[in-house]
Amino acid sequence: MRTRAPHIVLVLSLLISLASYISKAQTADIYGVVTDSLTRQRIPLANVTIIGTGRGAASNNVGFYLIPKMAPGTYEVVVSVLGYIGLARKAILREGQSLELNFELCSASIEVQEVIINAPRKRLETETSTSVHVLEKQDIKMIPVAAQQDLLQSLKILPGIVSTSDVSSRFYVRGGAGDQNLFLFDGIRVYYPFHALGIYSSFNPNVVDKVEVYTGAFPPGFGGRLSSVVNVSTRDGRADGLSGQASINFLSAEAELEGPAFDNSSWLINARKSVSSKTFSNIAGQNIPLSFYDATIKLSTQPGGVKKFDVTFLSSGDNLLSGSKDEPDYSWRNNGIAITGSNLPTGRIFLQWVIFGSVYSADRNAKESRTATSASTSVKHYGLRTTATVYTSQEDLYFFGFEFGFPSMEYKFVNPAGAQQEIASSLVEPLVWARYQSKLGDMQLDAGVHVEVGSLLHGGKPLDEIQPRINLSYPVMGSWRAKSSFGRFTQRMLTVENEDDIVSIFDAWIRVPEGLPTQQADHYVLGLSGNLAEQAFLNLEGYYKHYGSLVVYNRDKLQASDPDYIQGTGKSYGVELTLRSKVAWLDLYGAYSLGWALVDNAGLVYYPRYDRRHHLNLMVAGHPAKGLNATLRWEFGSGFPFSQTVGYFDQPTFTNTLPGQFELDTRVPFMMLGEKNAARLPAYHRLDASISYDIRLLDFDVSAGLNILNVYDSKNLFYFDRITGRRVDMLSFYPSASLTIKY
Amino acid sequence: MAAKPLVIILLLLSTFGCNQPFDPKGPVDQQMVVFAVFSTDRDVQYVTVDMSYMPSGFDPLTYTSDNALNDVFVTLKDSRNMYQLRDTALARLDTSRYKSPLRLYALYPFTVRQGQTYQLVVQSRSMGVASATVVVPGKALLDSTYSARYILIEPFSHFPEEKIRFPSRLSSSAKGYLARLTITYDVLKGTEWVQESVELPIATADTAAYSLEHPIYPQIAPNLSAGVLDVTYRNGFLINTIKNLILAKYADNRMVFKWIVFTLIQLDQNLFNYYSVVHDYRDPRTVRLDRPMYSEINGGIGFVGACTVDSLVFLLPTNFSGNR
Repeated sequence: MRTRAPHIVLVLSLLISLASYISKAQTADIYGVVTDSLTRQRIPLANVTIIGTGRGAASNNVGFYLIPKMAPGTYEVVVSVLGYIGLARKAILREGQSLELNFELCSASIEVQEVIINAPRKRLETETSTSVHVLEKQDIKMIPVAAQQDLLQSLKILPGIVSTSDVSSRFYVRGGAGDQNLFLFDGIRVYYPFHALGIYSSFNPNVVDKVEVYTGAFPPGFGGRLSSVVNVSTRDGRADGLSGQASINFLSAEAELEGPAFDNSSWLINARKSVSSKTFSNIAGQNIPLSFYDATIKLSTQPGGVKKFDVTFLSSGDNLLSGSKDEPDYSWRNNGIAITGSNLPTGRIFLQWVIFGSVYSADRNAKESRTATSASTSVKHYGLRTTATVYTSQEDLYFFGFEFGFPSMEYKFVNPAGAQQEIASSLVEPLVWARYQSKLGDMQLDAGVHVEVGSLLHGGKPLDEIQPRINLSYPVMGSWRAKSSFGRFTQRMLTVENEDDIVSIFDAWIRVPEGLPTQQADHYVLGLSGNLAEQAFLNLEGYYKHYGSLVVYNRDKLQASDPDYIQGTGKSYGVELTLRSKVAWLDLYGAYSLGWALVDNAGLVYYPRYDRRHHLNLMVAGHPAKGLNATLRWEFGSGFPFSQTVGYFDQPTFTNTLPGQFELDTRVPFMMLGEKNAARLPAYHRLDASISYDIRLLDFDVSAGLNILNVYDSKNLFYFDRITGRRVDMLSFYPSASLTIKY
Repeated sequence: MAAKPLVIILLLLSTFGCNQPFDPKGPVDQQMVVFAVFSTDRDVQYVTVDMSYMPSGFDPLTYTSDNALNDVFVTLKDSRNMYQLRDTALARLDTSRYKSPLRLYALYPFTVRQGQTYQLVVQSRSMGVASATVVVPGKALLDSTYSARYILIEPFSHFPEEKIRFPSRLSSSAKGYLARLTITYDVLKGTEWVQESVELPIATADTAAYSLEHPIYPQIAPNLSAGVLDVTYRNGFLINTIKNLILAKYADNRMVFKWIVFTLIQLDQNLFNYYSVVHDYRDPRTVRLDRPMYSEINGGIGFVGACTVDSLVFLLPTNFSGNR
């Protein structure tokens, strides 16, 4: 790797020089940033249009836009984005002189804001690409929740995302395992983003600006996971004045402060702490002595021009400390930092970079437990990531990027044989990618290649590690577009867990064991989207995922010399339908998924426990009066697979009877299971409701909310103890209230 | 308004607050359960034939009915002969769950031959035929070093750190083995001489001082290195074991040390695999969290295994240190 890294830098330098040369042509560019006039927050996906020319651009994730190669002259440039009052400015372009034209938009009143993943700014991404969803803060706020809003719980309304229980934010995407999802928080890789057994995530929705969720065939630049990417971007602190917020609900208390710092700079501090473990216990239906905290700190500065620099800190922790000496204690921590920057160093090359560090650690103290052993694990991941966007023409956009990441993992445990073990491994993960977006006639092309250089240097197959990613969309009729995409992905890390565990509290990461190939998957997606009516948007997608290589248990392991893990394969396929509509003051949302997932473990083909055949989410959000919001959400999911108990037999254990009288050995019952995961649990369904009222009192913005989960108290099976016969259901009828006061 | 039907549907659905029944039990898979471990150190061989069962509740320990299968005909075949096993019963050592005697099938007098292949066939009128084949490991070649023999008969004349080595060779058909070194003695308890044995540890928590606290005995291990073994003990453990007997445990009793036996038990493939699975593979590096079911019976569940027992006996002199 040491010998190749300079080559990568050299190639990128040449490309950048080439683009600089191009920029010297006798035309001029218009570029700038779009910001919120009050908060100075950059606004992504704003439409920048040059009137009368048919030219325009959309601002990127940091509000930057560039319209290249304009002929000299005078133009009127208009910016529009939902939630803001549009703005027009005059631009006088002179030959060879690019013009910086920044826009500061005034926020429209809150009643204008359209929600429920229906806003046109999101449709820019979701209509032309497959398998991408964008959620913003107001979307998250609309979804009924248990005690407090949660980002990852909100994602469960998206098609293709499945959770196996109410009490876990952990999810499975299009038949992929739970460790195949990549979580990014302003570029920080978060390895266990869950609070409270997974009931909540570590990402506080109040600091979130936008969440991009890729459920398949994600573009170059995202790698290391087989199934999905959850890319969370935080908002900046307000630059116009000091602001504060405090809120409390049955579960946690939260405080937030933000304000301006030095010139063009702002800061944001948000901290949240659980206040009562009793609420967890009520939600989970059993005593859970749990406490958690999380904090986000962000410093932002825009020193001038289009430059922007941010520093984000994330810290979260959980303690599950049992009063009983027979029950283990758990604790886990996530700490991370990201230093990000963006700039336009040359005429048409926009650079974005992030230096990130992430530390995840978890401990399990078995105390005197008979069923658990003590263990600890940690993942430390530091790295640098840079993306260059090259604007060469109106139709063409190039992206080049590289990342150097250094994850190291440690796992200490006592194995079933009673031996203390330590698995330590580290990886060097250099990645490079190139991406090209263009409009070829009516067809939109987004294609590129993502190269996992680290895997290649460690003997990975070139055909697996040099990964093509392509997305095409083509207008077929009226507003309807046909879409297709393909991507190849690999993953070198995985979690050690029993895949049949109900809830995994302790996630230990290890690298793919020696001798096994990197996990690999291909995604194929076909889609069709368009308007059924003026206010009714439909998106239909079919997908097929082929797992060429998975790491699975060696179920035929008989001797110590046999490997614990072997190579398996798998596949998943299905159809997803999303319908969004607006009727008067009602937003309607429906998502239906029909899917199959199969794992092949040395000839044993079975449905993994997260395989759900049918999944339906219906949501109605209404705004009947000023400040009043109400939501109804109904979810239906067909049953998850499980293996039936088909009998018992008594087996000798030979504890002390070799070569003695085996026939007199006390035998212990062994449960016989039927065909693996061939039966199904009962179906799941639940209706949730929420209502909130926002009002301004004196100088305070007050928001009061009431949530009712499982309105009709559906008894959805969580787990069934086969030994005691005890049935535990998921969340029962659960009302909760919240109060937020903002200054 | 178009939203009305949807709201009405949702409200109608809300009336279905229901508790869907669930039972994790599927159709009972009735299987013949056969276990047998043939051993060369005994002249009776047993086979147990039971049925799998399903308790009415969920705790299998609440199932206390006798689940032995009665309608079976059990035969054992080698390359020349076929033997029929007889229905018999033994008293259980543990009657906390099953009260009835242990029902099984016995072949007596019969000792399996080393290196021989046997086929067990269990025919049941109700359950069909179950069968399994087992290869009894061949004879192991046991030896001891010259110095080991001297140390064993005069341990107190040698240094504690001196090694007692038993270079041996396992049969190629043995998949696992277990070595044991035991010392046998007579002890006068009251007016009666009682014969007892004690096994020597291969290590302890404090090996340097040869303390007998937390002894570690040899475990069943796989046959690696083409069957070549070098089982080694330290004289310090032998000395301290004897001292423990004569100075502590039986300080006031008369004792006569009779012999020391080095025993090598060889396990066939089926027995070793089964033992490995139920004892979590004896794999100090395993990260695996579940335990599969191991079965090597055609037409049923269970396994038929075999073990051989070979030994070297060292008779102790009448003037052995500690005799009194």
